Amino acid sequence: MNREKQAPPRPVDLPDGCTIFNVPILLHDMTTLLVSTIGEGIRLKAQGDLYKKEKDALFAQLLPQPPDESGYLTAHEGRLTEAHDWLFCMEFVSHSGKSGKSTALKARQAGKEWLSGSEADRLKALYDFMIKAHKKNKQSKWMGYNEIPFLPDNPQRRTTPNGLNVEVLAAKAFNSCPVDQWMYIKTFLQWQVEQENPFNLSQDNSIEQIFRYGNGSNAERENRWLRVLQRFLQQRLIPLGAAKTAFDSKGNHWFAITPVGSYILGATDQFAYQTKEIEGDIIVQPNFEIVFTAANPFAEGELTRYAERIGHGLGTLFRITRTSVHIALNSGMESRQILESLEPLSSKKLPANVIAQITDWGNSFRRVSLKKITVINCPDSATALRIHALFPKKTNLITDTLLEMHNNVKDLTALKTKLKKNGIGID
Amino acid sequence: MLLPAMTSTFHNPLIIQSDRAILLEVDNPLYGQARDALAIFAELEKSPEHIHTYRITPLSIWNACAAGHSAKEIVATLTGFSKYPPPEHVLSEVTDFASRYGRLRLERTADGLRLFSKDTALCAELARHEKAAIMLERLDANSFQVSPVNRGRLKQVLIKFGYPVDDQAGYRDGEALPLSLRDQMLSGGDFSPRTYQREASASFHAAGSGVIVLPCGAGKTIVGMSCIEKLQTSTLILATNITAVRQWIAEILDKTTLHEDQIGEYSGRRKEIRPITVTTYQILTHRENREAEFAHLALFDQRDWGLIIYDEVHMLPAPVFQITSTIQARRRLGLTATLVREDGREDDVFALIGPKRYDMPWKLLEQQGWIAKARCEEIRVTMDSDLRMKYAVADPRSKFRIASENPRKLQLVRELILRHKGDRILILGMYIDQLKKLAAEFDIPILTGATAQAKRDAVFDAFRQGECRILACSKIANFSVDLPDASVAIQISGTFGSRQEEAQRMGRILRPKPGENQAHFYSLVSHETTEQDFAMNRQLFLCEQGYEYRISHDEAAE
Repeated sequence: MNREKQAPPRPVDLPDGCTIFNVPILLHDMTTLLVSTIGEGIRLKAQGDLYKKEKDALFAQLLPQPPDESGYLTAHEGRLTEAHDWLFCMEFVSHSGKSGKSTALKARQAGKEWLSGSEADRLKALYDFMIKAHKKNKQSKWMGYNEIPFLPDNPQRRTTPNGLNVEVLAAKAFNSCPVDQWMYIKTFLQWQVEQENPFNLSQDNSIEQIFRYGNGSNAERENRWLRVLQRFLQQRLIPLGAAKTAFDSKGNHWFAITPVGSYILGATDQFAYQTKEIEGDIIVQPNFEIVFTAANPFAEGELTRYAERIGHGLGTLFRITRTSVHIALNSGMESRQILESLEPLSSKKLPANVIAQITDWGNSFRRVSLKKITVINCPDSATALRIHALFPKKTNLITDTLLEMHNNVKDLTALKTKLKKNGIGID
Repeated sequence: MLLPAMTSTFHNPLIIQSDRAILLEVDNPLYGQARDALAIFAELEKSPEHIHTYRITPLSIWNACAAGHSAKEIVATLTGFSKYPPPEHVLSEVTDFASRYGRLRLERTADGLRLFSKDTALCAELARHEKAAIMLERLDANSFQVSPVNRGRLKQVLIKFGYPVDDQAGYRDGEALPLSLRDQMLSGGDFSPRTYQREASASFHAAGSGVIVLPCGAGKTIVGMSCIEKLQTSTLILATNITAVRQWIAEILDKTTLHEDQIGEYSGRRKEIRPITVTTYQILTHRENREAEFAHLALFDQRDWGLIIYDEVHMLPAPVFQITSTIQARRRLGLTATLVREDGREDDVFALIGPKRYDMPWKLLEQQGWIAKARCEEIRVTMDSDLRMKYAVADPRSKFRIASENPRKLQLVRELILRHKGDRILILGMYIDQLKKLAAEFDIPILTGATAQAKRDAVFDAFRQGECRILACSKIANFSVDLPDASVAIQISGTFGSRQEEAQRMGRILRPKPGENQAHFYSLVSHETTEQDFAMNRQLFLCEQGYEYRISHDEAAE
């Protein structure tokens, strides 16, 4: 299709009264879900679904999003699923228990370590995971099982001989926007589709065979590119905080690539995450409640790790409790780190009793490890010594007649065989 | 997350939450104005250092309506002081609650009492209400005849139904009792009620019945006496214990023109019924066995009382509620530091005693120097290794006691006594053996439930006079014991996490002090034990009351 060449769209000023959404909501949701999986974990039905009670409780913990019908914000119902999938792919959680029976979603060590990092650290880990998955994908023929693709809805893709793929082109499209400047979404997409559509510009059908087998009419090619860009913005850039969005009551939408967005789009190596851009106080009260006098989703994300959410919107949103601090400690945070995180968030000096109490909870926190062992109960000390001599490295004498052996199927089988060979029967 | 643009209202001091909680910024320049406006229609729930939490409830709105405020005023206050637009449903609820007050009015007619409402549908509903209908005799579409005997009971039923009655049926004057407050106390010195005490009694007098809310140490007894003076009528005073009874009597004698023969003590030992009679809830609710009658409740009818004062009205026991429902023609004054009852019967207090008539935040009184500034310190005490092991293997029920009776606390008490040389110190505990050991160790008097009243009076008196500086007390000192010079309280054990006990114990040291007007409240808690867990409840409570709270460890823990 021959269209007249037009100048690229320019940044615009936002009209008054817009709602701005600038939160890596996926990071928040992953954090909230992961915090809940520490300790006993979250009960799951046999099919792996959440029980209603747990689901409702988790939804109540999520950071609220403004009402938006455009679809640019992650649909409420899908947020837990999305967070779960990412946690699972990053191997931060696992399903424990036997398949077919009710199981539990539990945090893994890697998840706990991730959780103990700052918000910027956690977001960077998320970005790096995605970038790594993207690079890996460029070198291998198929995406690995359960890996989150850089581009949504695209789990199995061919790479192209010339190295160009849809992901690179999509990133390039958004990289053309000046950082931190608002673009009217409709104009941007229209210009991209009509003027910079790689499917149209392609001399052959090679760009991943017009993004997987679409090679029909121009209209189809335009629709396909429009869909790629929309989904990339909606399912990746906005939930990851790589783009912020604004909308008004008339259905107009804008977006701006954030400084940190440039990192995931490959425009810079500098990971510049801004967490302080909203006015208003956050006050940690002596009764352990945390009051927000203005919205600050960055702080909410930070607090999710070691405080219990008790409200949404504005007002008293969190409470620090022994349980919430213990969860954080169990995830690998230290009480010092909690205080270091809390101190800059609070616009007033942290109350002395809160500092003392968190420190004290940290000092009294202990971690124990649970191991399954097999106890070998011998009729006399001579038998115990005989067995110990047979397995000097694998058994320990607990008493004269009791031995312990760590549960390892291979060792246990060997033990049984050897005992029988040596004339020691097993009850 | 919505990020609303900063508006001109952003510097206002209120945030109104959708659960009807209202947060008030203390450091805001408009704090004082907003606080005074809020106090009219919202209950102060928590007042920690920076942000105070108020709550709107149906009762708080009805209290405001009873004081003559309208929904429109309340909505205007909320909107005017709020940072962000208040949630619409909160404003609707305020209007709805307010519209319910006064829709039913109780009036006195020549034939007795008449319940009236302009709302015909509501009357029709009432006529079919299971509990109300049996007390109502339909007169016409808008009114019912009510027997005076049912006046209180009906109000109780209707408040639970969601329609508090505006009781305009009036009061009987009672037996006249001429008296006035003295300018010079008998004990010496000038006397005049403080401004807030005058305001409180004036509010009550204008209304006829209701509750005055003042913090511990603010002089509620004087408010009571001022009310008696305004009404010039015989009065029955109900107090929490015999020590409080004697204090009321001593105060009345000291500060009014009444004589000893006009003031009676109605207790286990004495049964004096005089123009002013002071008694306890305990004696009124005493009976021989569970099936027997409450014989002493007859006291309510043994004189033509013009006023009944309920001291610590949040402690009012069920039988006294019952009898109170039958004496609605007498004026009733409730005195308390908190409207919150552990049993949730605030609505009965509203229906039977009356709405809140006056409220004064303690922080304001502290700023004005009418009560002492209090500093709370929780000291975490380690346990010796032997005791630690005993604690570790004890059953859950015994653990609290083992931790509470940690002998290391004695050493710490000694250090605190040295730190507060010259101050009057109360040592408060729950376990008698522990208190006895401590009393023996420091050679100080001990008061427990078993101590005879005469000895209690003598010891309290010696403490007041400064003849003894340190006193060990069990729970008996929790309520209504006036020890004005006590400036240090050392709590060595408490009733688990009881917030009420904490408030009452704190109240013992809040009387204004000469000099820096500073009181100290120490809680000794065994480190890493269930006692510390329970202490957390008390810590939260004291912080929510706005007291400065510190946590420290004994030296052995360092």
